[in-house]
Amino acid sequence: VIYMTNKPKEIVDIDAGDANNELAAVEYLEDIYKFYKIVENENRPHDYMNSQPEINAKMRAILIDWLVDLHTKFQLSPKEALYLTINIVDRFLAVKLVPRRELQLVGISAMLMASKYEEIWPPEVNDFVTLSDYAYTHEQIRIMEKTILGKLEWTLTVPTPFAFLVRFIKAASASVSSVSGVPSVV
Amino acid sequence: MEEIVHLGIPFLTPDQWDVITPAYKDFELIRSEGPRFGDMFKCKLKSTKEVVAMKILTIPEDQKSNGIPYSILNHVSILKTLNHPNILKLHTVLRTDLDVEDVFLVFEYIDVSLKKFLATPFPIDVIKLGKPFLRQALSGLAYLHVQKIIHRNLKPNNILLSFQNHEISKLKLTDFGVAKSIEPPLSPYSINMGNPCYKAPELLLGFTNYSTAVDIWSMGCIFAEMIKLQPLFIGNDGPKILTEIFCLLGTPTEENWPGVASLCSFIQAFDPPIKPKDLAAEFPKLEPDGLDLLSRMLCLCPNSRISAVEALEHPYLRP
Repeated sequence: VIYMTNKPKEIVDIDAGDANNELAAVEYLEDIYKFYKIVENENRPHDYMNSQPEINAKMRAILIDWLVDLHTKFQLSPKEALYLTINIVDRFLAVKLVPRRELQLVGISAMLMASKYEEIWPPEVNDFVTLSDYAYTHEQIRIMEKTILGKLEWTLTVPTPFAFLVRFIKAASASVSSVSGVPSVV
Repeated sequence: MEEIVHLGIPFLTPDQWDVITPAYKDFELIRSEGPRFGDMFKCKLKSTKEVVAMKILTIPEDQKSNGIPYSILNHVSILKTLNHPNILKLHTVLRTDLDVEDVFLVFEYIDVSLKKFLATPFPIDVIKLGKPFLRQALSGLAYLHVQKIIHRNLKPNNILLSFQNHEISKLKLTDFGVAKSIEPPLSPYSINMGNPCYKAPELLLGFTNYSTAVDIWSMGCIFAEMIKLQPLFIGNDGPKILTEIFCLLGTPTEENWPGVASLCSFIQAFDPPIKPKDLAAEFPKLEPDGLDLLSRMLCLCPNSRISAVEALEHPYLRP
């Protein structure tokens, strides 16, 4: 028999220490996460593997591993851009059939967009061409960027797991610096 | 080409004509906003005769090699998430092929901007319009702020109005060109955007850790402008505007804005400090509740400034 106490544990206000720190936007933090919870469900891609004749879960895994490597090589930090890249890849694959030879191209264009969106000094198209060993041309990457934006109807302002992770780490009373040490689990 | 622009027809390149004319006709320039974000013009949808406003976001030549620039990704992505009666609705983003790099945005069409309205000698009582104006403008702002979006460029040009029987029938906030979505973890933001006249003191003092309160300040300035029929603070640069702000509201102190005096040498230059003026004397036409709300929107300290949601509950705006 497991005895449960009826007395609820005291909920610590994890934002209390930030009340005078405007950067933390305490007033809106709760609203932001309430809003994120709703939007997260609206934008969640459905399981698309069965609808993609040329792509399977293993290939996606290889692509994601490669994107993690690429993200490290570009020294993109912190991790928002990586999480947004993968979110873009999955949402795109959920709505568009992609031939096997273009899967990597989708990953490249997604990371191009995500890093422009999140980074102050994003890598350029030419960097992607070089680091992908000239698998795709400059023009192909830009065409794919436009295709993805069209299919996703330009929606890039989405909560990624990273936004929640930051919150949970704070709730776990871990130091802020540990956020940058977040493993690339995706 | 110059003459065509003066006739009120938007300047469009042949490529842009090719994209737009299959579906749209009857073009008329509504407002010109300079080279950065392009002109906005009125046109008619051929199929339904519906009048819409179109804006072309052009990609600067030197940025074309890197695909769609951040400013456009951010701008359109934010517009796509917005759906509220007090925010100008984006109908569609026209799809183009690679030959035409520009991005074409199609919005609902609204007659007149607040700036134009204030510039025309109108027979409408601005004091009477103050309440419905502020109620609608703040509900649009509350919607944005709950979604953690800061507009960052509120000014009379960016508030569109339409009238029916001398009442405001529609009010729409527009131009999200420099809007910012606050995403945790928060980082410092740019302070180099927006018209200085409507900029909050924390921006003018160079604080990069600002929040949604900057929009409330701008809206306070705009509301005051409606009552006074001239901009509340006038000047070309930050120091001039800050001085005007302090002359009206007093220099901030450690009591009303903790930490500010120690952080900003600019404030220490005001010795002895300036005392705030009596707002009631500055706005004799405004009723006491309105004065109270205005003073809370123009609160120097961003942490103590009223929020959009709180302002909507203020006695002045209660029906």
